[in-house]
Amino acid sequence: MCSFLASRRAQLRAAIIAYFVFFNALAALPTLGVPSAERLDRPFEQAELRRWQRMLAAVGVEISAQRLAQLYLSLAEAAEQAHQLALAPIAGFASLTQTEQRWRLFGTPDEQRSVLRISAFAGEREEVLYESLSPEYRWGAERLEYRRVRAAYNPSRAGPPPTYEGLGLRLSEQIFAQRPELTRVRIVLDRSRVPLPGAAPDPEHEEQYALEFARPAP
Amino acid sequence: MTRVARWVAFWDEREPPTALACIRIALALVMLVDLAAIGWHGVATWLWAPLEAGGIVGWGAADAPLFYRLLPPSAASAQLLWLGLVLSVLCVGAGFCMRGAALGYVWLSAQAALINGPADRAIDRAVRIMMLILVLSPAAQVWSIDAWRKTGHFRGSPEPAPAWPRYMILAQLVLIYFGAGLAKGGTSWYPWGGYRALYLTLQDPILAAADFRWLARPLPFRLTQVATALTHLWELSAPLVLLAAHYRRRPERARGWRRAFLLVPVRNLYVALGVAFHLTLALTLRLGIFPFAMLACFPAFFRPEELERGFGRLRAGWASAFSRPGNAPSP
Repeated sequence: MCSFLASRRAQLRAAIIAYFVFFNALAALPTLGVPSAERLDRPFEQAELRRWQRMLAAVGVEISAQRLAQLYLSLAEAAEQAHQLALAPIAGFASLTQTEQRWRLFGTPDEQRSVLRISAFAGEREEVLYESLSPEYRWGAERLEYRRVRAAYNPSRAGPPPTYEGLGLRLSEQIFAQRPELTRVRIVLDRSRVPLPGAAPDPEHEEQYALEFARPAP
Repeated sequence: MTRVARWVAFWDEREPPTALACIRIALALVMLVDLAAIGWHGVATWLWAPLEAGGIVGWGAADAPLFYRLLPPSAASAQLLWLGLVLSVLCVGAGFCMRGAALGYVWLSAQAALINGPADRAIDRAVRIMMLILVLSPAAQVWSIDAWRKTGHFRGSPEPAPAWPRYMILAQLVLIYFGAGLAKGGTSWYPWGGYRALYLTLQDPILAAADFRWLARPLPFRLTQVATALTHLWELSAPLVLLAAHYRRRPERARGWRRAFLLVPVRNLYVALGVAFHLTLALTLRLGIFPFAMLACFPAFFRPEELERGFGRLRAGWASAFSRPGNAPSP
């Protein structure tokens, strides 16, 4: 009786493991990203398309950039739908436990980079308090560079995460509390191009997603 | 034996739970350091309280995570969430009510992810998956308070227990690396994009641990290109570890290229490259616990007897390094 139960238990365990291994392996297969024609219009995606087009041409597949974009969109959409359909049996479990299997790990590094800069003003006099990677401007650096806080402002190509403004608000509150003489706080993501080896450095940079906070009235 | 019977027998194998205990302790230590950083920086409220209570993220009443349906949306609740995470992971590490504690950690960590999505990184997801496997494992059978309560010794009893949780953790590591390798869609990971991925990543001031502008010089840049290719190849070759393990189970059946395959120490090479890869990441990028949490799961690559041998060598090395000349055995 005992060996019968043990064998049934082993069979049940093997079946459950097969179920989870199969669906998790499916879930870990990457899709081609969220298909969007607007995204494909961005300079980075356009440059990527051109590079893929050149690679395909090198192996004898001539295809226009427009056709490649259309093909990508339809393939990405089909892959995303198939992915969602195939994963329906474990979607509830994955959502409850927050254990989706999507592993990108720097999947598409960008040629654009951003610096977080926090400045404060006493009247018209500006003082830079923090700047990413700067050895000089280090206010709150340890906290700002802690991985979960960094994730609150580190931008993707689509812009900063939804926590960016909330983080700005909290930072400004702290700055005003620590420095009574300051009247205004400005937070920006300063975007520039990564200097590529052998190419002349591009001095252009653009302050994006500026947040301005005035000292609240007492 | 049919394939189904072999599958059932494989998942029913038993071994001492040493590797699982190592993973349990190492993973808990890494997570404790991360949670201690939250306490040290005082950011639990920022991360997990609602905007109106001092946090950085807001949500509508209809979208409130379960945690804030059970507890008031306040800074105190966010602190309680942090404390719950600390206590549960402490219990996992010490092996005190390990299964319940690991399950508690997964629930609280999932709630933290639902409260503040951007703060929940891929490594947090990976840790939840590993913890879920540990919930069902005999990882607290050795080196734990649970073992001490049961046997009177913290060391516990390394009697054979189900081996499948270690196999699952190994499979999960392979899935993570292989999935990440396949998901590298940016051309900078390929020859036609100039293998610039690592160079570009290291030029990101928000992520880089230092100023790496000097990498633009010809030789260092070439080295980043080699490292990019190696990293991608290393990730994509993760399934070879499973294949090698499969072949090694029945070396007598190995013929032709399988025999040649067995001559290469695939697993050891993969692990050595992995350790180098993760330590390099830890030194060059501000990725927090990512490299260390992944390395904490690496004992899954080894059979318990291999780990025991490794510990034995360490103990012997330690003893010989610290033994006094007067204590040396006479010839």
